[in-house]
Amino acid sequence: MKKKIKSRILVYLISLIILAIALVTFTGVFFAREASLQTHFESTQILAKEILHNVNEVYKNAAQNVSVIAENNNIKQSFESPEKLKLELIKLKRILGTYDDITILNPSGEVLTSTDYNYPASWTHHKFFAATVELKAPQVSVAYYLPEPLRFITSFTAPVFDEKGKLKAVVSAQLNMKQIQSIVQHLTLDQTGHAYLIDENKRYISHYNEEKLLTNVDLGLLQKIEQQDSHLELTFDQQIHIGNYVTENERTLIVLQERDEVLSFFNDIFWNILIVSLVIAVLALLIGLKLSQSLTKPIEDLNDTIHKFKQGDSSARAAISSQDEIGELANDFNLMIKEVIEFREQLEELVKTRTDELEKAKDEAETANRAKSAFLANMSHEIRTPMNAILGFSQILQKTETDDEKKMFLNSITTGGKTLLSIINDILDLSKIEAGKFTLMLNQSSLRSIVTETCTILSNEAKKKKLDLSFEIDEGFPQMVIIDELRLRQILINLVGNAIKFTDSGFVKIKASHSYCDELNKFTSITIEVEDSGIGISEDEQESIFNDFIQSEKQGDKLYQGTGLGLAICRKLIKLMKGKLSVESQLNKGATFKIELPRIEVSEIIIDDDNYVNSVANSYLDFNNSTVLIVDDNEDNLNFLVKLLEGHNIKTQTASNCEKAIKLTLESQPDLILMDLKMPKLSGYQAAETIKANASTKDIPILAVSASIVDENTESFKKLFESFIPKPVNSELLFNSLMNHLPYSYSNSDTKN
Amino acid sequence: MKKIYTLFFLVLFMLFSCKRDEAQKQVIKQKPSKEVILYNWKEYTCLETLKEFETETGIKVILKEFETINEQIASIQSNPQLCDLTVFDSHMAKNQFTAMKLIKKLNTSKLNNMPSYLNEFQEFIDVGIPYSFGMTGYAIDTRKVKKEFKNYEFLFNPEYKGKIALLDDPVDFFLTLLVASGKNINQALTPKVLKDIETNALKLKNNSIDFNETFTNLDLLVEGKRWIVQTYNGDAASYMQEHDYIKFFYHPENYNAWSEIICLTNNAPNEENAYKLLNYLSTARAAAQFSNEFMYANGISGSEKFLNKEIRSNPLINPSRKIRETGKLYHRSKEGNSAAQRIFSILTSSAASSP
Repeated sequence: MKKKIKSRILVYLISLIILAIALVTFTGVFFAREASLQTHFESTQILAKEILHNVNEVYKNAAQNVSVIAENNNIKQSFESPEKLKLELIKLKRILGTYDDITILNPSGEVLTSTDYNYPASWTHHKFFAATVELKAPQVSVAYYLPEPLRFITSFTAPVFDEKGKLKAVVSAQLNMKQIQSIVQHLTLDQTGHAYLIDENKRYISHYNEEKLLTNVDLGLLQKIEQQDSHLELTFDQQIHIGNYVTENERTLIVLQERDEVLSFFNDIFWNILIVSLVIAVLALLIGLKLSQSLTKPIEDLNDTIHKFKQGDSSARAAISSQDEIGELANDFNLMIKEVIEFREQLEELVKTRTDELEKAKDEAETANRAKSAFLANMSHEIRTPMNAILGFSQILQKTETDDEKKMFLNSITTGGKTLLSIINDILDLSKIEAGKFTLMLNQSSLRSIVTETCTILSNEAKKKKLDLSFEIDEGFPQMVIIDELRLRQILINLVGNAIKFTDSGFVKIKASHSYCDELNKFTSITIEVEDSGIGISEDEQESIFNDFIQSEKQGDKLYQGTGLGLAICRKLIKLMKGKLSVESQLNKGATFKIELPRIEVSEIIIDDDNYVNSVANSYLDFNNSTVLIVDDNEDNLNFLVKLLEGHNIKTQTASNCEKAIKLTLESQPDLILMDLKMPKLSGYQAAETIKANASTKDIPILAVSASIVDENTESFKKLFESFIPKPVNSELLFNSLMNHLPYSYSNSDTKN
Repeated sequence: MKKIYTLFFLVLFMLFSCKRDEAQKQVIKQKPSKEVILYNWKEYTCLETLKEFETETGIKVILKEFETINEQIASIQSNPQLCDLTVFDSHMAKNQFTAMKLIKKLNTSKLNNMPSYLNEFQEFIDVGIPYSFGMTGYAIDTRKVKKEFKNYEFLFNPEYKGKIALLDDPVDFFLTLLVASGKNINQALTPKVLKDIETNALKLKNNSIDFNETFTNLDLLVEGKRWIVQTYNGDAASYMQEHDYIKFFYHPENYNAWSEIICLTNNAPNEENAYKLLNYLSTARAAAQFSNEFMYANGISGSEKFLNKEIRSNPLINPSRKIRETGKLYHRSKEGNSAAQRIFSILTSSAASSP
């Protein structure tokens, strides 16, 4: 705003000044130039007249003088004596001083005597001589050259009569044309102005360049003279020449000057005017600057005041420097500021009141939130603890019970418990992901082992439904990749579990492939497909099944019960891994879930995976006689875990409190500890702290087992525990965790006890 | 703002365009000339050649003639646009007439046949094209004069009083007097030399020598009125064809050689056509036509094949290179010219012209 007004005023002002100056300069110089040319044409004509008049005077005098000679009595009386005649001629030549030489001829053209006898040609064939004899009257020759020395002359003749009036002789006096040329060339018009004399034969007889003498006049000039064009403008010597001419007695006198020189004065004037104009322009610019400043200063002040006010200076007021419109504006502005301040004070009061109310509401909300968190924690703990026992023992009983009816009841208890547990786990996972508290635990993992283990874990489910569960991994698949193994296994278990759940017959197949992203094979993109021959998903449901709490219509059947959170959690987890989860399916023709994980870092550590087998249907986990210490104050839970680990070649030790656990650890140095967190006296945290603090036991992995909600991503947790297993303990998750910390192998089920 | 600028430039444009150079409106046009004027020695022009030129180019050739060089110079000076081309003595043309603005230098880029000019004409290449060359000597009636001459001393021999006629050109007369006096043609004219010549001139006067133009002299010879006449080799040769008793004599070491060229006059009114005629006349065929008709050598090499056999083989017309080299071209000078005029006037004032 500020700059715009000032610059606009300046631009308009400068433009106006330049326009005015340019117009005045150019038009002035133009008209002056035209007037000057006209003056030049007129003055050169006057000059030409003057010069030609002088030239004619010379011709006239020369003609008169030759007549004087012809009539001179001494001459007439000397004809009898050539010597005397010559002396008389020499005397007259000296007296008159006009001629180069004087010759007296008889009417036949024979030379009687001459002051300088050197004419090589025939007098009788000269027009002027013949005319003198014929007409008996004075004549003037054209200009011509005499040789040796070369002289440019004009002959003037006059008849000499005897006493009887008979033609006795002819006097021919030669006028050197230098006399004429000196008159013509006397003219000096600056550097390039010259006069030229042209004879009746249209030849130059006076020219500043002697080589041009007796040469024909330029055709263009000739035409202009013939057309009586009083304004001569000719180009020669690569310059335009301008001037005028006068013709008299068949002689033409021309005055020409280079046009550039004629106009040079105006060129100088032009530059002078231009310089003066520039000075005026600069002065006008300064005045304009001052004017624009005086106009914009109050506006700038007002603008500054607004800025100050905007930046919080409530005392800022516009200065009222004049009583004009701008002064009025400043005054009004000050009044407006006053009103704004009053309004702002009212507003601040209102905001303070509202803020207090909001803070109160916030406190209430936070209290409610804390209550909700506590509730969730308690709910989690209080539900999981009994569920651990319910599910654990139900599963154990199922294995031992032979009565079919009881088995059916136990199955119902297990299924119901698992469903309830799954709902609680899923809700907790989902809430963590959505709260942004979920972080990935990247570590070196073997995808092959993840897939194998998934198959192992779910092999029993598949067996129950007589499904062919298999996997296929690309040859050359990187052995180790950096990935959150736990979560990927969770995803795969979910997807394969779903596939088994929704497939009544046929197969469930896991296919893993990859392609390197770079030439050094440091990153790879992994694709895992879980294909089944199950009920499939209709096209319009293929996207909605990934939404929270959404199941397909068929999934909604009681036959396929679930929370509808599994796929939503899978997709969110894969998204956390910067990957993509999609599905291709046709109703009743099975489904393929596709996990695409881009740019997964490849680990350089190589493991021997010869032990892995593609089909795990007939294998079980063998933990190589490892010792596991189970710590829990709840006896049911202790028994359940001992029972769960049976048959997997694990030696179990139990402790019902932490003191005992610490003691046992120090004594027996178990390979792994399963530690309940909530225990009387010493908590699981404190026990773990003690064990980790001891140099001999600090490397023993401790897995936290709790029905409480635990933030396993905190540094304090990671420092004490290797992993977390929620209660009720899911056997798949437990073994999954054990496999991360204990040596294990797959043994044929036929060899199992 | 844009409107103001537009208006401003419009005003300027109008101001500067309203009075543009009126002179430029004049278109210079020259009517194409259809003629060319040749000014030549009387009866020394091959008319057949000119007709052929006219037929070939459509340019009419106007022939004007002169009888003496004095007439030629005076006529051209009096009437600068008398002619486009004229024939001049090559040496005078180059050294005197160019300076006198009787003729102008040629634009050699317009000349087509320069490579065929004989060596004798190469130094005049910018002044004129070759026309003819020859020598000045004496035609002798061998019936009357039995003696074999070795020089020009016979001029003073009283045995031939009243039987010798010289050319009426002061220079021709002056040069033969110099040679007869035992001098070189281009002799430095010291007072002693001039006195000797004047003395010998008086001797000639006593021997009743008269002065005529070349054909008059030859006619006098044929008529028996004169036994020895000064003439030019070509003219003599033409008379010798019919009068076998005539022989041509020239000084074997010091004869007066001359060459003539065709020049462009200073104020030629039909210059472009003049160049066309120059090019035509310098063709071998046109040059040969001239030689065949007037029995003078031309200066164009290659013209031999167009020459008549008798012309081609006549050593008087086409002298050998050796003989040509012994000839002397006269270098005109003011002193020589003055002396020639003065001495010639001494003799002619009392010498009787032949009837």
